[in-house]
Amino acid sequence: MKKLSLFTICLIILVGSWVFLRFVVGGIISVPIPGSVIAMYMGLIIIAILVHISVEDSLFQEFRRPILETLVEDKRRNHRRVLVVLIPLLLLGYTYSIIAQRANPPGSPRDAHPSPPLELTYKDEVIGTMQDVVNPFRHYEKDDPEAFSAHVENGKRVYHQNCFYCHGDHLDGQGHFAPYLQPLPANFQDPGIIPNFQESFFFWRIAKGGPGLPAAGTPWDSAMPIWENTLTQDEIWDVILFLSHYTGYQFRTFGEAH
Amino acid sequence: MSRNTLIKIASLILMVVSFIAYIAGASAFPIASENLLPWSVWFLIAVIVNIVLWTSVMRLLTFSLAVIWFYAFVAGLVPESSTAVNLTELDWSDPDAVAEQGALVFNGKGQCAACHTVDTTAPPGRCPDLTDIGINAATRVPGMDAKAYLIESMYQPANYLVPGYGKIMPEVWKAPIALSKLEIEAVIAYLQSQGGEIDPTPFDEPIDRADVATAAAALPPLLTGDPELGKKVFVDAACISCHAVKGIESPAAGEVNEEDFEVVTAPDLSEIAAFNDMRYLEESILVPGAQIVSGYGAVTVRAKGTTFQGTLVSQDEEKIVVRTKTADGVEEEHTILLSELDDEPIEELTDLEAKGYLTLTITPADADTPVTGQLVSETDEVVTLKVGDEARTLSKTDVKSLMTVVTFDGDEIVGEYVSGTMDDDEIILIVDGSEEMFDTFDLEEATMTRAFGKRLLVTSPMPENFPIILSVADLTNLLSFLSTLTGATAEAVPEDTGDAPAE
Amino acid sequence: MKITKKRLYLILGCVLVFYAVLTVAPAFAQDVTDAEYRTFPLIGSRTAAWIASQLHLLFGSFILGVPMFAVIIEFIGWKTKDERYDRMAQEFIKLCMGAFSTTALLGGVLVFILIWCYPKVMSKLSGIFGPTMIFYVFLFFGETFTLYLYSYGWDKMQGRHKGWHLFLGVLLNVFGTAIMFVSNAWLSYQTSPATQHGILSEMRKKSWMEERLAADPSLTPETVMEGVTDHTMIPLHNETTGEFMGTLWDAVNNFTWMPINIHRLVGNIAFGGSIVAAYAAFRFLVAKTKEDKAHYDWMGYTGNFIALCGLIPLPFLGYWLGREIYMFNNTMGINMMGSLFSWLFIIQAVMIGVLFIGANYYLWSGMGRIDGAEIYARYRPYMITVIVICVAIWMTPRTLSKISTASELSAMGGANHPHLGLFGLMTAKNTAVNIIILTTFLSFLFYRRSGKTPTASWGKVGNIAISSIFFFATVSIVVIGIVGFTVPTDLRVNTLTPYQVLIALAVMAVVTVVDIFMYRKATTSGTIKWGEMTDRSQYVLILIAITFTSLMGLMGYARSGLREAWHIFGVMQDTSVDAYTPLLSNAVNIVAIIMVVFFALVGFIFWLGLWGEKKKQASAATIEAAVTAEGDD
Repeated sequence: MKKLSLFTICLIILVGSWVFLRFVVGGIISVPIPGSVIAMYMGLIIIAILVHISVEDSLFQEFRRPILETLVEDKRRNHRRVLVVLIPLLLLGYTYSIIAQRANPPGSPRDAHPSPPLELTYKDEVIGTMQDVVNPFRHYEKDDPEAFSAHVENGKRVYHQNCFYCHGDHLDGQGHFAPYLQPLPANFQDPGIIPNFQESFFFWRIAKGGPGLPAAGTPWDSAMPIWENTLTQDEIWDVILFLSHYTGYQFRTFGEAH
Repeated sequence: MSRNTLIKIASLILMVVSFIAYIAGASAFPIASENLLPWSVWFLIAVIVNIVLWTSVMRLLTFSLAVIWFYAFVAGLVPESSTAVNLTELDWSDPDAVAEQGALVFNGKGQCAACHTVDTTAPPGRCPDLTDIGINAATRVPGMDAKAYLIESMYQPANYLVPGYGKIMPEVWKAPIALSKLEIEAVIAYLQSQGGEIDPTPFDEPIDRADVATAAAALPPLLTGDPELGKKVFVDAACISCHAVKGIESPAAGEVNEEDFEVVTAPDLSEIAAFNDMRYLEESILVPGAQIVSGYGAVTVRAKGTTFQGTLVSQDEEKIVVRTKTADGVEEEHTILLSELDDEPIEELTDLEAKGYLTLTITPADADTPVTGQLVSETDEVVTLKVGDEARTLSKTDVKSLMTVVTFDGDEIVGEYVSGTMDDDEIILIVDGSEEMFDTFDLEEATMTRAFGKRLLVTSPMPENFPIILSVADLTNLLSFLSTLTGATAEAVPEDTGDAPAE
Repeated sequence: MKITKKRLYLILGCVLVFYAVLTVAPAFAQDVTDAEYRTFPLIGSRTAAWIASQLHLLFGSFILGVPMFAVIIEFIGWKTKDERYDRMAQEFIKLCMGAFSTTALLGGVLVFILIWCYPKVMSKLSGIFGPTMIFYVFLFFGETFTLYLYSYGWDKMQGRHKGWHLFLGVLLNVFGTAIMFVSNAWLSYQTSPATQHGILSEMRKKSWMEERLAADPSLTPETVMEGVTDHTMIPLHNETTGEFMGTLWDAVNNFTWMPINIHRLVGNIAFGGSIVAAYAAFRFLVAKTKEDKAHYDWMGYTGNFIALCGLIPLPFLGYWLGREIYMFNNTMGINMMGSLFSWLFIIQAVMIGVLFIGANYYLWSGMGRIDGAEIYARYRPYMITVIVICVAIWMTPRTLSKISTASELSAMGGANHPHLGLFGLMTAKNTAVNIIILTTFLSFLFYRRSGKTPTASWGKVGNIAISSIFFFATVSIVVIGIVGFTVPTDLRVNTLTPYQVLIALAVMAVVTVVDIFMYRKATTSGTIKWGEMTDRSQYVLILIAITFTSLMGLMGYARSGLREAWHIFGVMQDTSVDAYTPLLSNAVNIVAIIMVVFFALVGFIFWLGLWGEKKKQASAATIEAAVTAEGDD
């Protein structure tokens, strides 16, 4: 078999990685990747190819030889004819795909994580600054394991009476109502949720619910109720204990200063 | 100058101009309006031509400018919403300038452009295209001029819907978008400038911001109002047209309700305070759908070729009973077998409002007959069902129950429960007389779905606009009035009936 | 007097400027009494202050970074007795003179804008930092005169006095760094205003007691000090008025002061190097003779090398700064990494990706000018692959809701992709950046070895050792990264990530030492043919410089924007019309404008140098006078 030219290899890499991202990663291995992310990766791959072929002059000559041949040489006349037909057709298809696009609502401009306020409040009572408030029952974990497990038990009860409908039996955000909610209920089993936030942040989100999201987190479409109307402070803290106890993740803490 | 030099200079000028226009966000410039070629494309063309034509220093400059532009371009790809609030005054002597400010609000803080397009060639958005809205607004509702219609649409967007579009527009004057009156004025000017004339006449807001803001932000002390005034609110705000209260004349029925009145569309409130917390009543007024009294939820069910729209009376594993009302006011109850349903009666659930409508059938170990009831709560060990009027708590560990297990292939296997929970490695069911083991790893996530857990979209028929209609004072008075309805004092109430409706 | 064309344009220009001033002037005629804010005409106060301060900062970095570079180079030249280094250092110090006066000028403009537009903020800040401002002035005088001595004494102090001259250079950098530290105190105080950390001093306790007693006469010393221990947090600001009550040192030594100092110090080295490299690239591209090309090729290489040395530790230092911000205020941290500014860090990842790919590209291109470097070319595709994968990981956003359509979101089952979403977490990104750094180091190693054959008897063993060091380091960095997903964040931030960094740094140190010994008496098969570089590689140097500067501009927006609607975070609120955070796209547009202005000014200074050089032969005295006039501004 004839050795493939550098240009062909690059083309294969390009198309191959697109197929890999779009169908292998986005279909067989995992769920589909958004088009914008694929575009980003493809951009990087193109840059990588450009870097490779342009570092050395000889490689660059080799890379562009097939292109030049196709453009000028007689033996490639048929290639040229195909291209003359193919390129306008591709452009046509692209234009059509843009114009024929059906209404595809954009994703939410909602921020990844809402910015918490500086002060943590329950109803109107100030508990303290977001930074300093800690779970009042957390210290039982070391001091009094029995009391701790009682609090976790209570948290479990509160969770299953109030939260599990959306957040699920396994705290993975797959509760009965979850498929109907957008944004989806938080998945506490995700390694990026609990470890990134202090307990005070969770208290704030539970107490204030969807309506308590800051203006920057618009649009408001979280279905999370305002739990401070229903739950006591202790119940909220208990349920927070339960969340980390059940999932095994620990909340963000700031050990010793410096 | 040779032609070559001219081309070189022209492309240089094009590059600089398109760079400046891109940075300044001048997308509306005629040569590069959104429909034709955006400035970024002009810039790229100019950069390529410059790099080809020029040499040494100029090529270097072109390259530098292209790099700087590239980062601005990449950052511009991320959609964002601004927190900017900075309209302090509108200069009506120059209506076009006001319209420009309105365009900024439209595309920025107001987030209107997230759904509305102003461009007939663009792919359709989630909401109507607003090209020529300046003229079209006047033709929408007879007797309403363009400005009045636009004002109405901004403050009460659900009043007149464009056919084919749902009730999805938020009230932009409310949080979280919270446009000020000035900003709304500017947006209206911008909309009028789309094909129409800008009308600078000032207008009054059709809403009372102060009251709405306070009602939403700080809930007032509940029972400080005047029950008498509250009773007047109860009648004036049309609560009485649906809710019966013993001793108050119902304008709808035209007759005094007596002991044996028939429930109409909403629960009787005669003894509401006797067994309900005032916070609950407050929530029920402000968010009617938060909790729905059993038997009063509105449902839509399609079966036997027709649509039944009414209140849900009861529901079990075989049938549902829906009560509808004909145009003449005659009530009918329809019993619909689940097998007769035209489509799955599962509709979109948007909130916890459907809590209580998950029906579960469980056979406890020590009983022979299954227990069916609405799911009240569930923990890992126990479930609480509401059976009839009483709540029953059953242990989950010693339960023989019918369950559906959905495997990966999507096949539903229904069997009698033997042992195991989702936390164990396996679940054992009796299927067709023989025991079968199911590996929990093969199960789809979180699915021990209940065999009879049909979910219906149940909404409250009560209108949601009471927070808008009622002032804070009205609300406190109304709550104070409701708090007197304990049944025990019901005798005292009729004495006052005379005055209230007359006013 | 004959009116030439040139003169006519000059007069026309003057008239235009005068006209513009007249038009704008009325806008300044605002309320002159004690207003809280005054609006800067046309572009608004914030944009004006933003542009002025960012330009000031960039030029400040220039005159801090380039002398650092010059001193290092001068030292190398002194030790290696290579004349080229000395000449290059001198060339850049001359360029610095022009930049120095521009910095001072921009600083003046900035102060005027701030005092005019933000009188209340400035009076508050100067109330707290008054003494440091006097100190700043002294430092400024010190720096100015040291720079003059350093520059004008260059030729005089050759030979016997070279050591003293170098000492002057170091002193110049000490002054420059101190100036930066002082001004960093002001702005870091605005971001993270003095919250006490560490142990409470007896003095502070006493002064606090006195303040409380003065505020409320009904208290007694005992009641005030009740329960106060060495670790009690004493608020340093009056909770209602926001008045600052701590010592000056409390205000200076705030949470982000030291991290910003170090971050900027190292950043300046990299910036200085990259600007030098860009200058060299520019001269290379316009050079006519072979000698010139060789000289500027070598200069570009040296500049890029210094820039790379600064660039490698920068991600770690930035990480430390980020950690301190989280420590100071978790809300601010979440705002930075998860909320308002999260996308900024994706753009940052794009830029840093460009920097690293560019740096590697330059090294690989450079191997083309060494005979015998071809043997390393076969590793290149793999290195490109590794770098691109790592950059892709670094660029992958955690939450995709903003850039996906609704149908894509529902296909993913939420805003996070179940697998790619893991790349969005810090532990994945830290792993990626460490591996990029190791790969870049490997590129450099190959470059160093190109055209040389080791003669050490243990050469083979050494190569195996180096390969296995790389292999095990990479594996352990990846393993630590994977473990990072499962441990508490506190442990990850304070233990695991530092270990990753230490591994990467240790590999570089150990391998460098081994490599130096291995190649000490190496036979050279090919010399470096300076000047035989592709033009493309020179464009890459310019790309790196622009990217680095844009990155600084972007980070300026982040650091300042983190305060949101506060002048002094949590203490003094911004109540002006600009009390909102501008959008990323708007911010980057302004940064783009700043970049254009900055490079135009720098280009002008470079051109001055070029111009002076041309006339040098004609009259050496003229240039001297011109530079003096520049410097006296």
